[in-house]
Amino acid sequence: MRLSVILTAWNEFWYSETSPLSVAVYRILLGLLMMAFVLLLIPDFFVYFGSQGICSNQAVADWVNGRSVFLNVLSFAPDNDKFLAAFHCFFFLAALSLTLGYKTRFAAAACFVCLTTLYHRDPFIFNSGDTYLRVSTFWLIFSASGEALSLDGRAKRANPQANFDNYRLVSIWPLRLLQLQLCTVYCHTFFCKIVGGPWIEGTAVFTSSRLEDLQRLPIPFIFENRLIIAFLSWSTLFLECSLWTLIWIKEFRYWVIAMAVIFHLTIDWTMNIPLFEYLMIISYVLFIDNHDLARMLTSLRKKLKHRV
Amino acid sequence: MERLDFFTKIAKERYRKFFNDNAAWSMPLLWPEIARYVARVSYDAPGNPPVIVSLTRFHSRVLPMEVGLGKPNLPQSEAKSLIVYTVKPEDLAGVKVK
Repeated sequence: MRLSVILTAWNEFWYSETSPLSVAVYRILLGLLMMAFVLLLIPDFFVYFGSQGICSNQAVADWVNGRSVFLNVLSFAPDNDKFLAAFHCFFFLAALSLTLGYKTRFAAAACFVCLTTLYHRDPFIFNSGDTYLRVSTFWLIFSASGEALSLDGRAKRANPQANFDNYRLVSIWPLRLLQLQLCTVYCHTFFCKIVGGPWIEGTAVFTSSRLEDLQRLPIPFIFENRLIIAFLSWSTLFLECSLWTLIWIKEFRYWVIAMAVIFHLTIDWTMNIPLFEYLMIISYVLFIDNHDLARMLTSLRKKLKHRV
Repeated sequence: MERLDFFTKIAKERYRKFFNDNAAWSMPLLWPEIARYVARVSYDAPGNPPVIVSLTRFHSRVLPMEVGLGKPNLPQSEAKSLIVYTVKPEDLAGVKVK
């Protein structure tokens, strides 16, 4: 292979242009999940973050050894529950704005700051899915997700009723960062698993199915059969490896995505980790070819019109 | 968490994250925080403030697959006292007793 071939491939990977459609669909789905995230916090919001809540500002400061945290809007008015409530309303509006694609970049930046603020206020209630949400929102700030399927984009487009295939091309690198972010998650979890015994021995799924506080709905017999447990453990390793390797190869991509969707829906059925599985599932949109996505959306629009 | 219904479990998942994954095992700095919170929400009778809050962790180990297959989990009978906290008057400052 010649060096020029590698350089061309590198340039094409990072610096070519693409339709903003896939990242726009991702923005809408992420925005909807963000709104669900905000709404799910409401019933116990003041317990988690309030002045009389379960975790004081001082405890968080002690946890980070007294170091200052800059991206925490709540530090402007600590222990002020009215400010906290106003902040959460703002967060919801920012998530709504992101979903609709209104002032998209600002909305993405606002959502990122709100997510980071809540994390710094009480980091002990958040899981790795929340971290993934936060990082993805950060990359979304730099993307052209507002160029399609958005109020921002609608104003710019000459004929918004046209098909989904003729958006103005945009720089590809923010999409690449979002894709690599997803791959990094699976790469990390894959290497964390293969260094331990249970996943290689094929017993790990048995242990995870026995964590009572995480159980949601039962699947009879499956987790009581030694062969099925071994198959599921090894399949998990294979799939998580595929999600940062084979997913880049066009011929395998949709098969890997289909298996991953089934995988995450099965976890969602059995384990109570709200939003996490859906957050991973919506990220596969980033790997769908824009022409295929445009065809799917056109077909969906026809069906909806037919029904109306 | 095990006793909650389907929808309540979804809404309360962050309590599981806070207590089961963090506070109960590796975060002793949170134990006085939790004790103070419990004292505040337990202060429901005027003139009868809570005096002591004790936190105890109950757990059981998941059996290895070789011996656990087809059997229910062990009861959560292993107990460890995390903290016995004496409530101070300032811990209850600002609490509105009904």
